[in-house]
Amino acid sequence: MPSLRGEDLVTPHQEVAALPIIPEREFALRTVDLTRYFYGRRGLLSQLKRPPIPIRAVDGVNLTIQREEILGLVGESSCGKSTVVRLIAGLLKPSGGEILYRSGTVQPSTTLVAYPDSTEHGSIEVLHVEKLQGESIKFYRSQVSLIFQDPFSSFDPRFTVRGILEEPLSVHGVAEKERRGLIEEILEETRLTPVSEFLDRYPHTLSGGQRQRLGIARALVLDPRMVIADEPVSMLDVAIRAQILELLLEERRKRRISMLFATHDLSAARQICDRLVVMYLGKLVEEGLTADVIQSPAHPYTLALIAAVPDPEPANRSRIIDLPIKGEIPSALEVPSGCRFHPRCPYAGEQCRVEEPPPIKIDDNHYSACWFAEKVKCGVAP
Amino acid sequence: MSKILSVEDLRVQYPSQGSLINAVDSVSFSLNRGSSLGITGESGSGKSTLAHAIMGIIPSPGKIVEGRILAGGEDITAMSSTRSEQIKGDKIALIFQGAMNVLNPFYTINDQMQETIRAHRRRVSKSQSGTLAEESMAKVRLGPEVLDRFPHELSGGMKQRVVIAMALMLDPDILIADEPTSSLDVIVQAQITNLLKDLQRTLGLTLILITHDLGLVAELSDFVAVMYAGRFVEYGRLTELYGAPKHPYTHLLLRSVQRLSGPNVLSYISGQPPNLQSPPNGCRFNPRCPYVQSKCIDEDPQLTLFGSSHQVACHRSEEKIW
Repeated sequence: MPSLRGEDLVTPHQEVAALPIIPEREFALRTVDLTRYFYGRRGLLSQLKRPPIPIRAVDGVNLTIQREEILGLVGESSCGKSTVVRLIAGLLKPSGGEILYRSGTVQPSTTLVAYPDSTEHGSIEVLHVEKLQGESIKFYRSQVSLIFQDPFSSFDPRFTVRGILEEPLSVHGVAEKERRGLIEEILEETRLTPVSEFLDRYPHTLSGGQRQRLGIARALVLDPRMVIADEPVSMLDVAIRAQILELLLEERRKRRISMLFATHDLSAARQICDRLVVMYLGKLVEEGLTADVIQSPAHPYTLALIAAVPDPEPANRSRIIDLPIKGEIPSALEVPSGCRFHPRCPYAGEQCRVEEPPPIKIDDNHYSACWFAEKVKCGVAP
Repeated sequence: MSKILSVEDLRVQYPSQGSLINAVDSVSFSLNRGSSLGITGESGSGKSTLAHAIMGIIPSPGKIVEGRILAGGEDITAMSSTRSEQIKGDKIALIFQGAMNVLNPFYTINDQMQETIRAHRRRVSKSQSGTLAEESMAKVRLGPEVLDRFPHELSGGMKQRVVIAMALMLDPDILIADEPTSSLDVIVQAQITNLLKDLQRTLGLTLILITHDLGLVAELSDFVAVMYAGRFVEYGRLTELYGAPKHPYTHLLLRSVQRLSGPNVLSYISGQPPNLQSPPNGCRFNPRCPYVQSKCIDEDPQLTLFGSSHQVACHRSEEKIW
């Protein structure tokens, strides 16, 4: 969310939020003013009458996934996080803006040597994801893989575990004799063991947790540099969620991959994310280290999200949950003027109705797009 | 306080691949007017089946093979289906899981509410039923104008309010809510939770809450039952069960919940719930239990009463090892 426009890529200094362990500029992926509008289907007559109104699903998102970090993308449904995921995964073309992927060291062994769309950006070689086509898309997909939300519908039921894991390998031209070893290795790693028992099973015979581990195995079998996980634990039972989170943490450590973890669940994000960005109605409203965002939220929307999380505390029986938010999320067809959160915000003043707040720096690595960021962060009541 | 509902030794059986499985196994509990019971457990533990059994809507070939369900002193499993339908429609209402997604898209909210009234109250006049619908909407903080809308014109939160209004319309003694907040956004979840709390206070609603969400249980329940593989493994007051769980499953389940405060630890229960076609010998939780002893494999622990209401089925519940 910090103003990551083109020129900052050349001289990114303190403005860019950075984890202490990771030197600046070591970004793995960065979006610059990313937008995606959708247009509903309309009849000819209404098309002639007035110009189409866009659904502003993603409306100027600047986010940075740093090397080896897990970035949490937090927001409710219809906030646009799934669209961001699909844009970053290259499954959807943006309406505007850029997605820069830093390819890093590329093994020259494969056939994927020529990347016509990559450009020199300073001294960093970046891929413009939004312009990828042909072979370079294939290369990008081998580098950046996806873990889906629903482990019950994201596998072809006619494929065995072996078939599911073999498909990406054959698509990406891994020799047949190497495949078996890679498949067994990844099953071992994701603890679908004993391997021989799992190879010929069909997904419907696996439990939810096992299926999600198979989803992770499929995402990792090509040894990618980045994983995009879209709500990977929200369909799983509470008792086993942490197993999957632990596996993701372990793989990040072992493979030194970066990860985007999109979720509506702040408490799951808290457990594995290094940094969080909070999204509301197509825009990022807050960004910071996980502990900072959760302990001292600086945007009223984050405040409301935190207040809404149910905690298994018996004392909660006697309370009415104090929700510092009004009404319901508006449609992305009619984004409110000024700050898009103002109609629901207890802090909103005149300025908020007129002028959209930029990301305001409130601390090292902590930004909030709110005119009252400081007040919110200090816990001053509206 | 009077018992408004008693379930005694209930067993629900399904034939599955040549054998019989007990989806609900020897479950007993009773509920006082105005109190609330949260029934929780992993998916497949039998909590929804229990709710369906109380409503008498176990899909064939499943059936209640043992036990009684007493509502207002009458055994509803033993009576004729017309009579029990009457009682269940009138006295017990169920909010199905995902009910907000099965509102009929072709009819207005009002049409769908009138249908419910007509099915149960043949003699109500049109104007009376109109008032009934409006009153019911007011209870869930929706204006009468919502009655004329179609489901697609409403947000998720409003649809869930409509579903609750429908359940409250006939003024039931007991409301059974199966996952009333799942598939809603966090903030809407909290709003619905507040609504249910409010209804508990203002209407003295008796609530059976079926959910996997231990946070929601804490918000809405006076008593809690933890189900595992078709059985209650622990039952007690919210404060005692959450404060000092006596069953390792309850303890581990509570620890598995991701929280926003407190230490950031990843805790989970290894393994998975048993296949009910061949449940393990002895305690059904023993293959996943870190405190397992030989006795747990040899002998099935029975629910034992501690104090006035706390019941636990564990051989080691008194050892204070967790």
